[in-house]
Amino acid sequence: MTTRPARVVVAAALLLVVAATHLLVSGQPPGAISGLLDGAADSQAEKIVWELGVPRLLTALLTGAALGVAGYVLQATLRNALAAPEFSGVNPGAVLGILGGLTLGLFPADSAAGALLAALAGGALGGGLTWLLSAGRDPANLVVHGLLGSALLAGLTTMLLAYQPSRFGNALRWLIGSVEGRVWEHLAFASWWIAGGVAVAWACSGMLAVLSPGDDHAASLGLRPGLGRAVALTVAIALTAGAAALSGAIAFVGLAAPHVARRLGGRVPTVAVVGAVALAGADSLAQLAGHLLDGTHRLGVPTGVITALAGAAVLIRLGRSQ
Amino acid sequence: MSIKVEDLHFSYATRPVLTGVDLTVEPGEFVALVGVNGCGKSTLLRLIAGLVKPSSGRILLGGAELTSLSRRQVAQRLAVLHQSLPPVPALTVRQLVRQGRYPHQGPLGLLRESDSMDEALELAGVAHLADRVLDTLSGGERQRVRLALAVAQDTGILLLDEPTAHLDIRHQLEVLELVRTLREIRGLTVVTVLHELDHAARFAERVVALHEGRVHADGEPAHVITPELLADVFGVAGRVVTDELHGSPRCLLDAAL
Repeated sequence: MTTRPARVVVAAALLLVVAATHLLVSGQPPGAISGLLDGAADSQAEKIVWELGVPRLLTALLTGAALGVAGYVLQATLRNALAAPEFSGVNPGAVLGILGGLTLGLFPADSAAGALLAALAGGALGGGLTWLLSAGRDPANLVVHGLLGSALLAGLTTMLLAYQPSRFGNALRWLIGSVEGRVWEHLAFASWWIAGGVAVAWACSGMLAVLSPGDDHAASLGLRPGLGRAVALTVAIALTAGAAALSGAIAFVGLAAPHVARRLGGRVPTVAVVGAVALAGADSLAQLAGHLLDGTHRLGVPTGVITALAGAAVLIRLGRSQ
Repeated sequence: MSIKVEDLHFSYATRPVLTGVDLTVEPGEFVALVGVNGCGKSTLLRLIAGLVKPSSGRILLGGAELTSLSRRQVAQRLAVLHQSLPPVPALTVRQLVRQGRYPHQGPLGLLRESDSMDEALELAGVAHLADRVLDTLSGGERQRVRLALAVAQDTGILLLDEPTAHLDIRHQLEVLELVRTLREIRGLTVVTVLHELDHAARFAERVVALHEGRVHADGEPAHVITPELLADVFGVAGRVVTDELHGSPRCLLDAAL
């Protein structure tokens, strides 16, 4: 087992490398990136990096951390290795909330707070739906009902889009998940929200540990299992909604990051770093792929495509090893 | 810490399980609960642990009414070794035993390393396994680790639900010997459900036989474990002899009645 300071150093180094890579593959000259270190965006290229590149990087890191921690919390409380934001109705619900809110004109397309509130409402609805479907049953079975609920919500989202096909282009980034096109205003709000959620999850890590072996175990150690689960699920929904409000339906980070973190013997801080690194790495690949396909796709390659592909591979491996 | 159970009734839906159980366990006693499957011995344990609520009757832990204690206060007074611990991926021995500090530390915060935890690992003889993943251990090792968790919880009462189930005979003895040692060192009050009558006779000071929802017999092993008990409670014709070496009764089972 490695010591705590060693882990912190490794995590910091890893984050730095991924951040540097992410900025370098954006296509801006390295001089523009290092030029920002003086604290001012002097040239046009430096401005582009500061206004677009850095927010995109932070969006990827924050979304990855939020999804990783949300998945970790869900897997611990629902006692199922396949529990994840996208399989519990929370993530599809949040996306439905955002698209529904936009379609009904409840908030302007560039409103960070509006998107977050809509994602929260939708995520709570999705999570609540799963909860109702599985009421009174073993929490380990919640995932099956989560998949059913997720399919239902995805169907509703499709209906919404079919009703107004002209909006499909704009909706695509929410459906597939993308960290592109986020600016400082979006981040200002979401970063506090996600940092708060991760902090609460961290503060609850003793509770999560006690809850994960079973209800009798938790109760015998002094935790009311129902209460503990309610707190944990609220945190998971809040984090998932925060991630969805920034980046839409990014899949598989919330599923895979907790597995990696547990193998590393880590808990909430580790899973936050793993999730952040995974998504920033995936977005670096998405940017590279975007350069290769330059000119043919106006949207570029959404990060969600990369995570979906990588995540599918992880899922198949997990399925075989169980 | 003492346990007092007064006129306890409990039903699952409409099926009565316990119909008026009275039981007093003095501080430091080692009591074995015996009876056929479904006689309510595990249920009695769960009722004492406050995991299920009785239909009527009272339970007192160290003189305090169970219903007046919070979940956390109960966990500070008694530790439970349930029949099984569901698997948790990648959970290490150290991480599990650390959870014993949860009732003392409260819901917020991380579970920290502490001296009492190292002491618990040491006492249960599992210090050398501390960094192993729980799922890679043998059945006997797992039970010892779970006893270390109970020790780390630092309670006055230890409840065990068939701690020797699914173990081979050597590990059955090892686990019961460890329970006896822990009880002596920590002055624990021990109540354990046991299937094996010979084990109950050998390790417990007092045997309580449950039958049809009530206490059928209660006392020293030699007084409780008799051919009549074998016939009336277990439906078995048998003889009871005295083990010369340990002075405890032993059952020789002849036929199902």
